[in-house]
Amino acid sequence: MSSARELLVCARMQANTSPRRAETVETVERARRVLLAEDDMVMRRMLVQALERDGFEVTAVEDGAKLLARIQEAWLDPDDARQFDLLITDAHMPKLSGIDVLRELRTVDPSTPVLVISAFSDHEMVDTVEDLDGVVLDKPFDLSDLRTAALYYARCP
Amino acid sequence: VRELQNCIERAVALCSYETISVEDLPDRVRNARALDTASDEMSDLPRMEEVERRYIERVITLVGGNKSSAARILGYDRTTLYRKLERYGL
Repeated sequence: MSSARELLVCARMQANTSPRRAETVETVERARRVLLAEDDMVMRRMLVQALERDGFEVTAVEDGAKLLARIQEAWLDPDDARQFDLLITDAHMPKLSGIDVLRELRTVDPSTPVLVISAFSDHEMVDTVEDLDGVVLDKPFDLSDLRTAALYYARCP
Repeated sequence: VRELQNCIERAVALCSYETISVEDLPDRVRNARALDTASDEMSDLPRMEEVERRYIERVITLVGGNKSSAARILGYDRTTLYRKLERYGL
């Protein structure tokens, strides 16, 4: 998978030019659902507000164990099975890290888009996330970058 | 033991000061505790494979055992579904 920055540029171009994208937006009947995990309360609220402004239905949790538990709940809920369109997770959190959860998720789910946000990404971490078909977004990031990435990945898994 | 010996020898060779610090250790060793912690936390939750097994089982029951319908609902092709059914003993 390409870097988040490259894809953000690509997403912006497509958002402006693709008729298929406009058609997709019109035919979507339900709000796109994002599952967000971020241990910093202020950051979590800020991200939820930004995503909700873009029309996402956001479920937010504060650590990796709750993130994995919520993913499993979605799989096992008869009305709700696997219906998250996008996962956004902090890389470093108490209990399970975002990368631990991504690794576990990929044992059965190769396709749900996962965006990993991190203030301490190094090459090894980026390689690990990309090997698991995730995308790293470095902190600090512009909120508009996150929103663009969310729109891109939630609609084009 | 040999792995530990190699690790310490490498740290001695590469460290900048007289004392070996955490930064001188290879990533695999530095991350070992985090991995243990992850395993502990993970043990409180079912593994995703178990969750998938339960999910497939429920869908198969809902469609009365019809594999084509189940595959469509699950989003798998039939080959993948049969592979998973075999893997999970369903």
